[in-house]
Amino acid sequence: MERYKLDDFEQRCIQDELPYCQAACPLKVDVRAFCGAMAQKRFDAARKILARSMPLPDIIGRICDHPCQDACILAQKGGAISIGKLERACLENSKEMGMILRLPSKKLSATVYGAGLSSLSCAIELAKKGYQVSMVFDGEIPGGRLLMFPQEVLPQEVLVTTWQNLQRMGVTRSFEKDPISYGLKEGSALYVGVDDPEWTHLVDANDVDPFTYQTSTKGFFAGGYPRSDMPSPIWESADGKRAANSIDRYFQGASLMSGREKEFSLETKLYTLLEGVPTLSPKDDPIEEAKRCIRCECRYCVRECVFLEKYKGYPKIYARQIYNNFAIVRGSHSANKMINSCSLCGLCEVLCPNDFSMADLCRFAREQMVERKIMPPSVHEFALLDMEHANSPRSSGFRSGAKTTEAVFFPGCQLAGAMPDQTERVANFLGEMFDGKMGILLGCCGAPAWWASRQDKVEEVIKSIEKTIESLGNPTLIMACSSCNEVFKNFIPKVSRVSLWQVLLERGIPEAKPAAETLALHDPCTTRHEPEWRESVRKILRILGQPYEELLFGGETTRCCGYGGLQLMADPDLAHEGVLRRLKESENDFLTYCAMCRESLSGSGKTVFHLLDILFPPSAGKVRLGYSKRQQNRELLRVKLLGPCDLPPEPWDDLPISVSDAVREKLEDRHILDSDIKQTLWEASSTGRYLISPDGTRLASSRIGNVTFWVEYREDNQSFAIINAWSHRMVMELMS
Amino acid sequence: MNKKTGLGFHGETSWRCSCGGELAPHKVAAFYLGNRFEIELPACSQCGFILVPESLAVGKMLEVEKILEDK
Ligand code: SF4
Ligand code: SF4
Ligand code: SF4
Ligand SMILES: [Zn+2]
Repeated sequence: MERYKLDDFEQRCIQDELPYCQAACPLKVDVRAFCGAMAQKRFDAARKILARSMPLPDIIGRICDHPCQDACILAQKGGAISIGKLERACLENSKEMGMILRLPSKKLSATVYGAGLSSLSCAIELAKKGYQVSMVFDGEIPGGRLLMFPQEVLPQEVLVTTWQNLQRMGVTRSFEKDPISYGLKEGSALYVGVDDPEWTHLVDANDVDPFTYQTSTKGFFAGGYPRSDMPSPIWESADGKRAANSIDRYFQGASLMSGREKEFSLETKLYTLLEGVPTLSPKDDPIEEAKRCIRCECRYCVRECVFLEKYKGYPKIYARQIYNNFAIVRGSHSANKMINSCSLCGLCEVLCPNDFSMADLCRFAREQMVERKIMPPSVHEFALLDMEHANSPRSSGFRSGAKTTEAVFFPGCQLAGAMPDQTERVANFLGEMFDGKMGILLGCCGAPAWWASRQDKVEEVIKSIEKTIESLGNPTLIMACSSCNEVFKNFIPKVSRVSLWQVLLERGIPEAKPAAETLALHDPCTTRHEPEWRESVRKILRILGQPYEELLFGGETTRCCGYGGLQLMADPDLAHEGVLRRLKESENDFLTYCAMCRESLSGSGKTVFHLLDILFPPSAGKVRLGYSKRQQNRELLRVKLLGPCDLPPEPWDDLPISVSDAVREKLEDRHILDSDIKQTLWEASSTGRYLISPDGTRLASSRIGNVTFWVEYREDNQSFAIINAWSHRMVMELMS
Repeated sequence: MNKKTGLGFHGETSWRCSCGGELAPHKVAAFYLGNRFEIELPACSQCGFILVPESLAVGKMLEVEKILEDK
């Protein structure tokens, strides 16, 4: 994967931007984590969080003028978090942290002038970094203006302890009054904190760089200038700390400016959704107030997608992991499964404030995997074989209209497989409407190949469909499936298409009885960008008088049923989790208009109707059919609508097998088809090679394609009762 | 049992071969995606029919296949 592509993706995800409060804090205190600790009454932990960014938490935490509060997003929801109050409460309830860690002592020395907060901050930061620091100030202890705070706001003891701590860290006191002659020897620097009026005269305010705090004299730094009429403790402290960082860089001979954007910026690109956040007024109790903080972040897409949630990160991190997946030379491609588990449904892109499309990223990554021949061969093979079956002459084909061919009905392989009788009835119904001017085209659109990024196979399918359409004189395709529609829109946009629902609206809806109960309407994810498609369905429902419920995540923000992108193949458990989550969105039974959605959402406790179940009610109940049955259905439908194909039947086609429900479920999970079983049984009986157990069951095995199948069965009165079956891909060879 | 992969099968098996032979542990080479392992599996002593039991196929063997596919 190319670097520039990665950057492009990474930049879109703003999840790791700072929360509003932290961005506005000149010291970049992690207010979000702080509130989190406070909400759990973990006062010592909260104090540690303050100390990570505050040079002097005991002082600043008590007197900070908290610009963060003005930035808190909850101002729109009842009131900003009282962060200043929380910090004070934290200090009053937590233990002193004891010795402050200091880096190994360095020879270089700095002199800090002034007793104010900026000087104290600068001194302690430099001392932490291991420099020799001496302070020059008037009075007994440093503090300056800080000594004037009322005792209940900032107890004098705190300042005394602060000076003791500084001394314990090796800070000394100097009485050198002339900074220039004293301070600027080789290997030394000096800082003047002008928040102490005593030293204001030493520097010209216009001579100080507002970012680096250096004056025009190298090694001479100054800060602590007022930013408004009111003195600002937080800015004084930030000046001291930032100047200390500059001095550190100065000593190391590094650039004073480069790479400090995050330190200086007060902006954030974060986007936090306030929808669903309750409006609560500020609380007096600090714990309750901390609980009100919503820990601002984005993760909008992550919250709404089971796949993004599963991998515990967010798209920016995933983009990096995917990049690394291609960068490794040896070892395991650990992101393979992730890349293949996205349903490519496109919900994230719609939700994301910056249109991050995980689908595009995963599709692109899959293409790369196929190109570099590192795509795990087993993950998509079954779906691709199913597609091949749907496009084999046994299941596919076409015919023109009896008179001319104005339109061609393209049901798609999933509708044909899952609802063959209804497909046939629709075909007949349309046939009459079009009065001999409608043809039929059966087969798969190539979606599985597209989802698997098998460009070669998509092209093959598309080319053949294109040729057929051309041979029929370029009629309009009547599309029953929105996934087919998406594929054609992408690969053969010039072919004219119309949805089955639109055609029914225009030409007439069959007499039908709506279901009595209200049904939750599940839009297939491939209608996300097809408002007309979705609207046609709603119009039909209104005409029928079918009561339906719009889901919160419907329309443009609809969810995938788990089959999209072949998620089901890469991670069946995840797909199932998505189904359960979807079904939980409503108490009602569901209604959809994609055969695959119906199949995927069924079998998990809710009845799921297809719109055709209402328009053309089926004779039997609606149950999940499974892969084998769908394949058989396609073949039968082909015969009914287009007549038999010219391929001779396979010799094992008519072997009678019986499969219990429990075994059937296992076969489905293990992707073992009836045709695999029959072929294995047939080979066993024609070669006479199999195993026998004492109680008379048999075990046969056969290699079909890349898979070895094992079938355990019992032969009784002319039928084979299937007891068990399994498979593997490895090939075994006896060693002599 | 192949030490590196844990592949192989040693349990008793009551299967007999349709050729009349008995199943006994045999050295078997297992191939996947250009990799080769030597493992032990029950096989017919007469005709060489190799048994891959279900527990192995859906357990360890599947695991190893997946690991090799991600290599
Ligand atoms: S919606 Fe998702 S991808 Fe977009 S910025 Fe938020 S976390 Fe990142
Ligand atoms: S809600 Fe919490 S995290 Fe968000 S801005 Fe306010 S204090 Fe910061
Ligand atoms: S499954 Fe859908 S919402 Fe989730 S990452 Fe993939 S495309 Fe985005
Ligand atoms: Zn034998």
